[in-house]
Amino acid sequence: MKGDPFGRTREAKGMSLKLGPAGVPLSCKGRTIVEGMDDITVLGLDAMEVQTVRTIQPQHFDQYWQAGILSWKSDFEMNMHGPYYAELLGSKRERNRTLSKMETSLQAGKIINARHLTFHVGPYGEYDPGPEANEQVANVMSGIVERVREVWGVEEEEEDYAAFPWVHESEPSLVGIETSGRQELWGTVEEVLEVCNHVEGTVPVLNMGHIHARGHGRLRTSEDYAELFDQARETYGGSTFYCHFAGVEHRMGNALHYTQIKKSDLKFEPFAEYLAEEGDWMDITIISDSPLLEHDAMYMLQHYDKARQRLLEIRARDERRAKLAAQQGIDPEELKRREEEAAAARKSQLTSELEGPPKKAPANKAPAKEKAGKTSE
Amino acid sequence: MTQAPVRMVGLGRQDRSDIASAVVEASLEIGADAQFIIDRSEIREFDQGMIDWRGILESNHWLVLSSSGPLDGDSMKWAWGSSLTFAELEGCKTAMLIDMPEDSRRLDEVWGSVIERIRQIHLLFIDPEAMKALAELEGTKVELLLKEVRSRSLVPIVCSFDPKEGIAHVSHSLGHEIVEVKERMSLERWLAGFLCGLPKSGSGESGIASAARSSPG
Repeated sequence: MKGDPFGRTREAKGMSLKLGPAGVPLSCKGRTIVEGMDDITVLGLDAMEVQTVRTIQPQHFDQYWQAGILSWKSDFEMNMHGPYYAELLGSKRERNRTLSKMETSLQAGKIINARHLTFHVGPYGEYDPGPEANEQVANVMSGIVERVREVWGVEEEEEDYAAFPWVHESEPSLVGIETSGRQELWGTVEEVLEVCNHVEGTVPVLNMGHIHARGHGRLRTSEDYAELFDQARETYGGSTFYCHFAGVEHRMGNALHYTQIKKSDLKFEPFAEYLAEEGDWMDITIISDSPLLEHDAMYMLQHYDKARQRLLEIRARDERRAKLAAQQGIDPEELKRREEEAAAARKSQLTSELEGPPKKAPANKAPAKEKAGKTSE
Repeated sequence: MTQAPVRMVGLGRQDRSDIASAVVEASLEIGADAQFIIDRSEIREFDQGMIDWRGILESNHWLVLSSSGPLDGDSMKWAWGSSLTFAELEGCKTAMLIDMPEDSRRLDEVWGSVIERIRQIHLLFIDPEAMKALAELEGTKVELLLKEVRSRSLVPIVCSFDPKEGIAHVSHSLGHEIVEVKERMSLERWLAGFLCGLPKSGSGESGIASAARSSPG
């Protein structure tokens, strides 16, 4: 299961990109996580995000542990998503209820060898958007990071954790803080980056559908993605990113509902273009949480491959031109101009050949109108 | 010009004892072009691999499902999951009907299966009998449940209908409607009318309210 079954790699130029669905693939006949991992690998994908459960029952434990072992022995990246709804800025009771649900995710995250644990923050509650709310989120998230490390285990208890080699040989899961898709929920890009910048052990979870919706459709071109990641690089400083991608319908800066990518105004092509051209500094995982989980993850992979292929072709052409220009002793730009002129000439010649010689107006034929008139006489 | 009937398919139990079957039957009575994916039979298991999903879901307005499907054996569990995916691929909207499972302790499990597929659902109907237990699971009050589920899950329409009071609650992306239905009718009959009304009335605020009020047939 190690590596890509088709021998492809997405680690060109030092960039690490992992792609996968949020859950067991829809097309998976079995519904266990391990069967899901097998199917994902066969599709050429290499990551998965598992949705949290209410309580870890013995059958869950067994499944999670098997998945953990499998991911440990392969390049497969496991991740876990916390409760689908949270109220970390709510009353003490609401916050504690959310934290107790999160505790289950932390425990499961350890068993499954999750690299990222993703959490929502929820509504602003009694806070106004601003430094106070961010500080409160930072405090809660510091506590969660601490708890993740506690749960992950200590070296002295090595024997107790013999079944979980990753506990001592790899870093504890990173705590992901997800951007939100609605105005009343904490989680603008700025808020998430600020908290991640202040709390070690956290990572921004850039949910592109949410960012697009909240920004009134802001992600349209590869430059928009460049701007987003530049902002992240300047504010947060890290190069590890965890993203969600799905189509979204939005209105007035709020996500209305999720759709498959093809049906949304949020396109993946510009993101693929940005990653292929400028993503070499990133260590990025993209999870498809579209209604068509793995189908859209494959769609993303295909677009990324296409964007890379296109870039390679452009680079090869530029290199060839530079070599030729050096041989001929001219400037590559001059050679480019000449090639473009030659191409334009070829194109116009081809067009004229296809159209044939210009047609002459028939001299001895009467105009159609007159002919019609004669017939009627 | 007469309007074409609303087309829907239902994935119900073979003995037609579930809520999805009841809604499909009620829709047939009010003139919808409705059919069942699985024929009536005494045999519980069937070969879900034999179903031509594309053919059956193509150009339908609705796929109607019961939340208790995954509890009805492996064949139904797989068919339930496949139908949701193929409906999404074919552009057929999914109406998921949440009712209390025969073993009420399994509501947690049923709700978990629905949450796992929540992004493939376009209309979520919650049986009034399941409201209280679901509100407890979600940690909210019964009167806030529909709004909360709608805002947490982003399902376009989340609704319920109380046949005793004749009142429908519909939470949608543009707001929340409380609609009094004058005619006395069963829950299945109201939902059939709502599903048949929606494609005609549109997804705007007034369109949704009008479909919730309507009782065609």
